[in-house]
Amino acid sequence: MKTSSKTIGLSIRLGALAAALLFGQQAMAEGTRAGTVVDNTASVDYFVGGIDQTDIPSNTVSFVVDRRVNVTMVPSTPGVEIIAPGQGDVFADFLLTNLSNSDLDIDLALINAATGTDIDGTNNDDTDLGDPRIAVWTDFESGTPAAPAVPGTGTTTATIDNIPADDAIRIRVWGAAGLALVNGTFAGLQVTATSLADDGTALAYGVANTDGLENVDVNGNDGVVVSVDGFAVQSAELSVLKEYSVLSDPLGSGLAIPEAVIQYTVTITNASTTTNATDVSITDALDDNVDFNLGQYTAGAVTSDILIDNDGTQTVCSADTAGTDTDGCSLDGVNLVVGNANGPITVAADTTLVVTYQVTIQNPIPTTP
Amino acid sequence: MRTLTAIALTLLATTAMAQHLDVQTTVHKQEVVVNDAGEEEKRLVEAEVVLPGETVFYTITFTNVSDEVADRVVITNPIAENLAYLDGSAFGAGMDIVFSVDGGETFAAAGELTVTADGETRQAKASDFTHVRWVMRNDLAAGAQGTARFAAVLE
Repeated sequence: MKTSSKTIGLSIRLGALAAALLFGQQAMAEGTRAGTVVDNTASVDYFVGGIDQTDIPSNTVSFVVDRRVNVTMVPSTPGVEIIAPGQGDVFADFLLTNLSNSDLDIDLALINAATGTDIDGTNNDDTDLGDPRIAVWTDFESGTPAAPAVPGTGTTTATIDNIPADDAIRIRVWGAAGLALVNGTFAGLQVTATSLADDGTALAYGVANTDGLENVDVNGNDGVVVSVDGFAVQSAELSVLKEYSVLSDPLGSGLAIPEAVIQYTVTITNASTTTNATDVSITDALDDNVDFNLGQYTAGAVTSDILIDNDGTQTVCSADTAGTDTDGCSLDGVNLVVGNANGPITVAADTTLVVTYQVTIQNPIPTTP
Repeated sequence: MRTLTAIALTLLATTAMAQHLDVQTTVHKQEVVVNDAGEEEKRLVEAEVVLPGETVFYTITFTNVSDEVADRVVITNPIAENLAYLDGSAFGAGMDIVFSVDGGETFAAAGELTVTADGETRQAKASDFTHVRWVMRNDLAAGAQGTARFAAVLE
């Protein structure tokens, strides 16, 4: 009977606990909520002269559960974000988690990290982004968060309203990558989060409050947490070299004389080890005294006017005047273009593109006096 | 004569209602400080700042303030909802200590208690305890004092 009684009693208690977990799991996960009053009263039963006396209760002692402030904030993705000079509105996300035993408001402030700041455990800040801006995602992680709209210029502060205990929210920061940014440099954006009471008032630390609810930051930072996310500037590094050789001439002299056939070679090298150059376009304004030679090159089974060797892969394209086909090449009579909107060319990181074509030097001697 | 009878009845009533015992409870928390010798020293301080995960220490002091001997003295302390009894912390000189897992309906030694959850019965853990009880083995003489202690962790 005793065991049965205990089992029923405990089942009731476990049932209540299960309900509490179902309906109040977030608060339970981080411990008893701040402000909870915990009372304790003992009682004594005794006999005198064989007579059971009325139980005597003790005084009731109480304490108030204090606010354990524990907020973390880390970049949502490890490492640096890769950006290119001229890229507008580059952004990164932070994840802020409230591990406290109470709901909190959070003030956020954004700045460019100071030069020398460690931005990802490996690299240090050595450049700045333009127009840093900050905004909070539309909902907590326990809800249905969506990315915020890009805020207006100069928005460097934001507020998180009433983040529940054991919930989290994302914060997005933006910056503008100026064209002047140098390849291989690093920029950090630094967010400072300051915890406030859920009514927006400041929290005092290390003092006894009149309501008995003290604030303790378990990290020892008085409710302030700072995090940096970094951006690495990476761009292609192109160099161009144009050379020529005399394939033939009327006198067999090897000189660029009238009626000599000249082969031009344009070599484009991408020295970057990380970043491809996309939409590369080469334009060569042909001299008035040369004629372009058609149909000089073959790649595979195709013969055409211009030979393109992209890191060992050879193709040919046509110097058609309209330039509307997809081979990326055109010649409008003067300007030879290799790589246009219809056929963009990518020069991958650490590779070379070689473009070859031929012209014949005109004979300036008039045919008739 | 009628007056004397009334006085006598009043005295009897007063005697019957008088409390023989005075019971006081205090709560403290432990603080670790570094003394002048650079050694860590634990001491009990007022439970003014208590955070989840910290341990609080309760002390129940009971004194026989009457001229009569009290016997079969039993002290019972419910464990508050947000507290979990700290295993092995209950102490009382000359007392047997038992626990309840059913809200104080029944008591037994810690190792004898079981709980049933999800259809399975297992031995009760300290965190299952709802009450702690001290049972004095001997009488509490007039003027004598006893102390019972236990500790619990704030969930």
